[in-house]
Amino acid sequence: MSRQTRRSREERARARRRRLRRGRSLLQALVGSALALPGMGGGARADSPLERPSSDYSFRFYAEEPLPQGKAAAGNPTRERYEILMHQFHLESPATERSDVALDIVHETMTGASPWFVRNQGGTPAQVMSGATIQEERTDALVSGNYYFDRAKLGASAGISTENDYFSWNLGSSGEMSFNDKNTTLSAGVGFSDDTIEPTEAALFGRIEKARKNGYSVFAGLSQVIGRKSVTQTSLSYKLNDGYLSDPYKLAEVGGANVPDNRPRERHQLAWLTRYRRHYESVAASLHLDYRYYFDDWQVTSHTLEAAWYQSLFGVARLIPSFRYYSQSQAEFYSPFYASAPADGFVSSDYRLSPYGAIAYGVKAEARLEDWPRHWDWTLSAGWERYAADGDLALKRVSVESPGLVSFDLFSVQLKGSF
Amino acid sequence: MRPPERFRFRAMGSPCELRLYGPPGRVARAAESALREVRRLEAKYSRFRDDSLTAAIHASAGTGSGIEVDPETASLLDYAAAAWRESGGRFDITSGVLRRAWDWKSGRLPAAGQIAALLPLIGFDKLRWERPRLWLPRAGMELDFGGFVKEYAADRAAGCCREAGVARGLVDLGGDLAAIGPHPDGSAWRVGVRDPRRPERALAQVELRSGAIASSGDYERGMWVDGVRYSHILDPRTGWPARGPAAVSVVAPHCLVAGTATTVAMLHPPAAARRFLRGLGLPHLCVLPDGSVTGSLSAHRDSGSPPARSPAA
Repeated sequence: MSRQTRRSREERARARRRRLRRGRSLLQALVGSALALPGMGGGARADSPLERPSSDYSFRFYAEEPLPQGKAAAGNPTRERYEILMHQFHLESPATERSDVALDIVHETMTGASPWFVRNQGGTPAQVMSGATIQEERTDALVSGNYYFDRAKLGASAGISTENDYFSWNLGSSGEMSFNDKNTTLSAGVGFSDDTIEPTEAALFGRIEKARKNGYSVFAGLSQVIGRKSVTQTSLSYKLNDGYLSDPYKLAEVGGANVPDNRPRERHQLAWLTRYRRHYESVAASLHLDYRYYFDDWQVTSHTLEAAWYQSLFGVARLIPSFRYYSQSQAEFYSPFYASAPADGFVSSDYRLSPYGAIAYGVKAEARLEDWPRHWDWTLSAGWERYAADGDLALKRVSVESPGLVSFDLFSVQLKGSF
Repeated sequence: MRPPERFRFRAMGSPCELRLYGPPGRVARAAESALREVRRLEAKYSRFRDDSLTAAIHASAGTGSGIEVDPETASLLDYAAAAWRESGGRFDITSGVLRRAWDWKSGRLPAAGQIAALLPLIGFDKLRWERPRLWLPRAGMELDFGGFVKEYAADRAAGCCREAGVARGLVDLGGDLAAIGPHPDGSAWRVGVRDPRRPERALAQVELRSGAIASSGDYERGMWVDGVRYSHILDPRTGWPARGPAAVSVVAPHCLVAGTATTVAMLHPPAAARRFLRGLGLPHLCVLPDGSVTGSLSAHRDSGSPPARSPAA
């Protein structure tokens, strides 16, 4: 009989386990001693500071479709909606060996009319737009920085936002830590914002003169590399809004008369976002899938599902078609109009709190130019997206959709340079 | 994707190379720091220099007073002690004196009694090591750091690059490789492991993202005497060459550990070497004298592309 068969299977398994234990103990002893050596304790950095400064500028033109004739109330001043021109500038740069900083400036110009209130026209809701063309400008600035440890990163940000009737400042801080040879990353952060609104023409329209609100937010997330080509990420975020949360420029029709938009002074929001990224090497493309579930204590719940395909072309260009589906349920106190005042006094006819679904689709094209004139790399991109909201697109049946639902076209151009 | 910056130099008796990704200034500083560290270790542990720590240790042999060593050397000695203990005496840094008996260029075996005369000077257990003081009790005893400082230096060089902010690159010290991080697009470094019997062929392609790989083989040094191959890897317990695998490669998070694993594997008889490597639980490749290839990395066998002593990135 051969030696092989003389030893029983159990004996062989036992010998194998003994070898494994001995081998493991050798390995553990070696690794343990190796880690005691100077500079051997750390693995690769979780993330590293930016390698080079880069800057990008983008321009977006956003045109909402006019209110359909059938949705407008009799005597409605204009069916024109918003047109927004947005300029965005971003600059980021390594600062020290372990840190980097970034600056973001946004300037936006809005012209057009916005939904003012909804009238009960023979039982059917009809939208009334605000009157003469509004022209508003908004400027935002945000400064942020990151500091990198061996397996962790700490970030902080501070920003302001101003409009002629509005001022807000915000602070944020976040951190992340990596494990498993950088395959798993845990992140968390907090944020605070303080907003003050002083509506224009307050006296004329009987609006509040000045109001404030604060936002407190916290998030936690987990990112995990799966295999060699995919990454999945999930995060939970909570925000508390406290203060004046109504829209001072909107009214609601209650029993035939118009009263100011009045929402609760507190709102608790929870959002759960999951992302999946997968790279397909054979076709040089990546799939991005995002799903977001949201709910708050105003009873608004929403689902967002987004898919995008990043297709590389000839190594210097990319084509990115994308698709997004959105569905939300209404805020508990929302109604296009009210027969009588609700007991708690909360009223709003804002279409953004109504039940509806939306579909957006678009495509973006990018072209890259490397090493010109010397070490600079450029990316130029242009994109278009079409968005349409409709009560029929919602997941749950919508019996009466808001007449103010919007559709828009978005055109964008962006130039990015790395130096 | 722009190719990495390459820095070639010679150190520890071998051709070395750094391949680093990053902005030119940062990469240059990282390379300078890594190179400085490699040269520092080379000078400190060299057995050829009169002013090295190794020379000072040898000078203290047999004096009874011992020598106090710095924290880095102390930790290296702790490592060597653990490796000696766990490998059953196969990894032994006191075995350098065997060099006096074996002349690889001569084609001649040691004279009768030469090895027997050296054996009393060999054995890590014969040292007295009480951190931070080391005693070499007999005159003529030696410590040979050459067997693992090169791998340690590869790990240290990679660490210097990381500390300098370079997160992607590869350190190659004469075939001992430590990856700092993958290519900018996330892809791993593809390393070819040379076939010991046919040096112009690569045996397998190994992917390295942030770990290290060390290899040992009997093909480069050693000698033939009367038709018998004598490997240059000597067994400290007997003073004679190992009769083990033809070549071993091991992947581990640290090059130091990978190197120790390959050395210890080479000092096992072929079948025992296979079992030892399997028991370690690290990705490895083992070429036996009969030409057969085993190990978890043998699945990445290459059918015939040109070899690389250094990575085929």
